[in-house]
Amino acid sequence: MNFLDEVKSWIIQIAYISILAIIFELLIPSSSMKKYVKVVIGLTIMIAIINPVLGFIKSGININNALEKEYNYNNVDISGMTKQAEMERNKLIVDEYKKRLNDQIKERILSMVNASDVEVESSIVDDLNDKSFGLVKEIKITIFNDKNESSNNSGNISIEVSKANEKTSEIDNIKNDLSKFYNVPLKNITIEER
Amino acid sequence: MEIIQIVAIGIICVIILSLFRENFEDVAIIISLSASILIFFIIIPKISNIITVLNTIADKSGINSIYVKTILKIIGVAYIAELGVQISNDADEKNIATKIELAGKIIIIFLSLPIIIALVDTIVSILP
Repeated sequence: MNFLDEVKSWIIQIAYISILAIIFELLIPSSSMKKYVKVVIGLTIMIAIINPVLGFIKSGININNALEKEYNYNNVDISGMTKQAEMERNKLIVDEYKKRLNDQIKERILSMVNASDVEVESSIVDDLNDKSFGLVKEIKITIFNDKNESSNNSGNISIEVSKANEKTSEIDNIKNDLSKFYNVPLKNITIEER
Repeated sequence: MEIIQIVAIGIICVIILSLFRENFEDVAIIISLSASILIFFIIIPKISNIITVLNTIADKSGINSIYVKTILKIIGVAYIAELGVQISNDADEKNIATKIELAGKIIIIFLSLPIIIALVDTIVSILP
């Protein structure tokens, strides 16, 4: 925009200068002096027209700088955008990884126990640049077995007690299994039953 | 209307000069000189207006005011030299007329020296 404004002001200047030149030429006496005066007027007009161009040429480096600045600015913008996009992509990758991990754990637990639903919440090392990315830090499992309970309620209390024992052993089994499989310390696995 | 005054003065001068030219040549020269000075003084207020407008345009055009002043000076010098030359020619003094013309030209070139120097500097500074 700045550049355009400069060119605009330069063109306006040239217009003014040409008007001035015509008026000066009208003022010149029509004699042998005429050509001398004309030469001087011509020189002045030349200076007036060249001066802005000269400023241009002298500040040529400045123009380049300005252009480079603009390009750099664009580059910075683009790199910022790519960075942002990369961050979003990484986040998506981590999310997807977590989701699949949770699904896997869920399937694993469901294959081991008879439950209606299992909710898995796991926290992992989610920095993609980290060497230990994907390391499972903590697993929280909620097992819903309403179905079992409703069927149990209809049964005997003694059976329930034995079932409870069975369940603790099942939970221990699950814990051990997950701990082995995902290399998670036992204390970081919490299983809740509902 | 100044033009009527001026033309009237001119015509009166021409009539007087045609009467006096043969017998009183020296008086004729004085009359023509005074007539031209008179006309010049009638014109002066207009010239000042023109110069004011020219200065305004020059300010807007971004020309250095020194250049405009120089050009106006040069035009003035040209007019004054022209006046001298014509009066000398009228008085049949070709020699003096040529000298006045020469002086006028030299003064014009002298006045235009700063402009020429500035232009040369500009062109040299454009070259890498």
